[in-house]
Order: sequence, then structure tokens, then C-alpha cells
Amino acid sequence: MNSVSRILLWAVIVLTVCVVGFPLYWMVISSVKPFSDLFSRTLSLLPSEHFTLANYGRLLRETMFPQYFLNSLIVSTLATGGCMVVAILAAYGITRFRFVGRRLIASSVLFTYMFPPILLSIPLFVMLKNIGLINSLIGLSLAHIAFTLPLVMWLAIIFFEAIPLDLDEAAMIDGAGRLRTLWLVVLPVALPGLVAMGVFAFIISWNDYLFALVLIVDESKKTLPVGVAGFIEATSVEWGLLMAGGVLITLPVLLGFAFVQKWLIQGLAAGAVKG
Amino acid sequence: MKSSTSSLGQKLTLQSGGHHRPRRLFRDENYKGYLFVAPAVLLLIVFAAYPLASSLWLSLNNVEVFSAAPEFVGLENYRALFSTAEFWDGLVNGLVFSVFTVVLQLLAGIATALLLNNAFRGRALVRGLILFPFVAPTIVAVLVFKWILNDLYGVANLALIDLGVISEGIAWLGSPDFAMPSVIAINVWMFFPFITIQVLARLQVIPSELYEAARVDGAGPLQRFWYVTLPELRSTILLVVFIRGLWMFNKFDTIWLLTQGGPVGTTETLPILAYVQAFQEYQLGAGATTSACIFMLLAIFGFWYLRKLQQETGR
Repeated sequence: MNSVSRILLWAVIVLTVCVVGFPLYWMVISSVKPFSDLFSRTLSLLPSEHFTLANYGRLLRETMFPQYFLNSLIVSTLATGGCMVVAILAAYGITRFRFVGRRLIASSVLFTYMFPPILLSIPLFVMLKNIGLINSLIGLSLAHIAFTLPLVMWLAIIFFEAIPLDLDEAAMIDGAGRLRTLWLVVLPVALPGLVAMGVFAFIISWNDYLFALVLIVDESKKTLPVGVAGFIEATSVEWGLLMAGGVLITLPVLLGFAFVQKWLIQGLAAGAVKG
Repeated sequence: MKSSTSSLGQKLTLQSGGHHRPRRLFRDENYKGYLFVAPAVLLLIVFAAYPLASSLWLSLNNVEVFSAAPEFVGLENYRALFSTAEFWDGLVNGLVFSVFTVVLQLLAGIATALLLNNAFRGRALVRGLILFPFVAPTIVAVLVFKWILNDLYGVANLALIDLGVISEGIAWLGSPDFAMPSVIAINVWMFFPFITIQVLARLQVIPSELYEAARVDGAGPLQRFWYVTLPELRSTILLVVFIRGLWMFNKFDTIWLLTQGGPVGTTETLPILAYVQAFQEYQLGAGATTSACIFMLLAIFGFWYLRKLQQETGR
């Protein structure tokens, strides 16, 4: 590559990094600024000289943030676990058996993509109210499982299709049952993909705003997105608090993501090579 | 082995026949397949099929949140909805929002994928960073952009004033002229990495012989992109546009959190309208009617698009 296109390449890289990274950078440095620096009308793109963790301290001590965080953690963990089990079983069934309705189920997964979440939220509200699961973290997790299932099941089908049936056959000739074959042969091979699926499910659940907004009423049961959104509507907007909250909400997602990033991308790429 | 199908493309091959037919060895116990899919099917029935049917039924009734008995009113809800300006405005706003966000996401996604397909120092780091908007929780992106775009203290306005572009701060999300473009830009920022991942995965499996052959034939970089890369990306792009289009038309959370459909309804799409009707005006029947309309529009679009796609792939 000649030097002109090298320079051009780097210019584009720097521009991309700035556009994508600036909001992240701005959130982090705003979260450690004191009140006076936040509400200053002179432009300064550098971190403030008056570094402070006061925003974090107040967020954790004086607001419901820790409670919201715990609620989110419970809901997302339940939803991820539930979704993985159900999706893995279904994907195994669809790729390893031939039965009437198999193709219908596989294509209905794509079909549910067209379901507007708002359309589901209204009857879900009525249904969960009738069976007493409104305002319940378990009720919300169930809704999240159903909501994440199509995507996760679709990924699982792609990953399982890429695994040669010879592996299954070998295990079964050795006398392994279906569940043992799934557990000992298919799952280990599909592990990178499964981790990616789990991260996807967790992120979707952790991010969900609409279902949490509709299905949870009590302040003490709210998850992070709805709870923190309430901070904006509160009378005086405290941007320092909000930015600190933003950093803490992003942290678990970012950690999980950094841990599996390579698998995540490889998993997606693997789905594209094999088949 | 077909190496030309992308991860998204594979979904369709399964749907339209499937290359991996389970083999004879297992045929005798195929009934067991039902046991494996049962939990998923049950969940989808209770949490997707039933709510769908229930929503369609609710749309034929007059139901309020706090009233006990729904009253069957036939198509009255639809007649009432179609006679309001909110519905038609919402439809237009939704189309503008979806078309612009999808097209811009696609451009940004392809551009960044092409960028990341080059070898350069620190590529893994840049790739990880580009995925950040996609994994950042919606509420976080919304908070940050509300802060950046704040009319008095937001860094965007302060920078523009310093550069002399504007003389005083603009309320980007609060002005009828700028709210929709701002909401579109923020949504593009949030969702283009999905396309980057998909396109990058596809780029990496384009056989390098194709490029070598093109180079031997004297094709420059632009020609190689146009005649080799784009045709290879075609199926991925078509499916990504489909999925993103559906999701953007359904988008509720980002718009609601950014503007609540305001100012004066300039960013009110149909999902926002449905939410307001159902949960703020407590008219569940009216909300169900609006969301049923969204569903029917998407279903028609979806079947039309998928049919076109299948015709194209020669089935």
C-alpha cells in the first residue's frame, strides 16, 4: 500500500474512532467532574482538573440505583439462563430430527421478528395482571426469555447446522442417548457460538426498556433503564449523577463483551463459513 | 459445502428446504424432536402467538385499563383511528425514520466493515470500539446524547458556538426542525455496528482468487469493489436491510426516551402513538388497534420482501 492511501486509511480510522468513541469518552469524564465544571459554558474537551468521585458516591448512597442494579442483574441472569436452555434444546431438535412442523417452527422464528414489541406489551400487561405476575421480576424475566428466544434460537440453529452429524452418529453408536450426545458432543463444539448467544441474550435483557416500563410499577422493583430514566424526569437534571449511572450500567455489559469479543466475532464469522 | 451463504443467508436456506437433512440412522425416533422443541414452542405460544391473537381481538373491543368488561365494537376502533391525523402523521414519521436510519446504517456499516477488513496496527482495538454503540445499553446512549446535545451546557452547542457556526445553543431534541434528524443520527450511531459485524463476516469469506483474477484483468480498487465485493455482499445486505427495517419501524425505546414523540408530534411514530393510547390515555383497545396496524403493515412488507428475495435466489 502506498503512503497516500496509508494516510487516507489512518484519517478514516481516526475519524471513525472519534465518532464512535467520543460519547463514551464524554460520559466517563463528565462523571468525574464536579458540579461547577459540568455547568460551565466554556468549551473544554479535556478532563477537568478537579477530579471527583462525588457523583458516584451520591448515586450509590442517595438514590435507588443499587436496588435497580440488583433487580436488573436478577432479571437478566434468569432470562439469559432460561433462554439458553430453551433455545439449545429447540435448535438441537430442529437440526437433528425430522418431524412434521419442523420447518414451520424454524420459519416462525423469523416471523416473530415482525411482531412489534409494543403489540406484545399490551396483551402481556393484561395477561400478567390477570395471573398476578405484574410487578414481578419473574414475570419480566419470562417476557424477556420469549423476546430474546427468536434471535438466540436462530443463532443456535446456525451453529448446530455447522456441526457435522457424523459426530452425533459416532456418539450414538457408542450408546449415548440424545441428551448425552447434546451435552458431550454438540455443546462443546458449539461453545464459542453459545457464549456469543448468551452475551446477546444478556445484552437484550439488560437493555430492555419497554417491557420493564409496562410490566413493573413499584419503584423498588424497577430495573436500571426504567429507574434511571426516571432521574431525567425528576425536577432538576443532575448530569453528573446521570453520567456516573451511565458508566455503571455500561460496565457489566462491557466486561462481558470484552471477555467474549473474540468468540463473538469468530462465532458470527464461523456461521458464515460453514454450511 | 456452500461457502457462499452468509450467516444470515443460511437462515433462509433452512427455511426453504435445508441442506442438512437429518439422516436415516435417526429416523425411527423422530417423534423425540417434539420433546426438544416443546419448551420453545410453548413459550412462543404463550408470549408471542397468544398476545398477537389477543391484541387483534382487543383491537375489536372497547377496553379501558380500569374497566371490567370489554365491549365488542367491531371495526369501530379502526374507523376512529384512520380518521385521526395522528395515525397518518405517525405513519409518515415512521417511514421517514425507518428509511433514513436503515440507509445511513447500511452506509456506515459497509464503510466500517471495509475499513476493518484492512490490516493495520490496532485493528482489534478499533473493531472492539466500533462494537461499543451496539452493546451500550439504550438508556446509556440516550443519556449521553441528551447531555452532549443539551441546549445550555452541551458540548455540541459549545463547540459550534466556538467555531462560529451558531451564535446561541440549539435545543436539538426540543426543536421541531432538528428533533427528527437528531433522533435519526443517534439511532444510526447506535445500530450500525450490527451491519458492520455481518458485512465483515461476509467480507472475510470472499475468496481472494476473485480479487486476484480482477487484478490480473486490470481492475482498480473501485472496480474491484463494484464488480467483486458488492455482488458478493448482496445477499447479506438484502437480509440486513430487511431485519433492520423491521426493527427500526418497531423502534420504541430510543425515540420515547429521547423525545417522547415531541416536540409537537414531530417524532411521534406509530409505536409511540400506540404506547400513549394504551398506557397514558388508558385506551387498551385503541392502543391494540394501532399496534395491530403496525403488525399488518410489517407482515405485508415482510412477505412481499421475502418472496422477492426467494425469487431472486432462484427458487
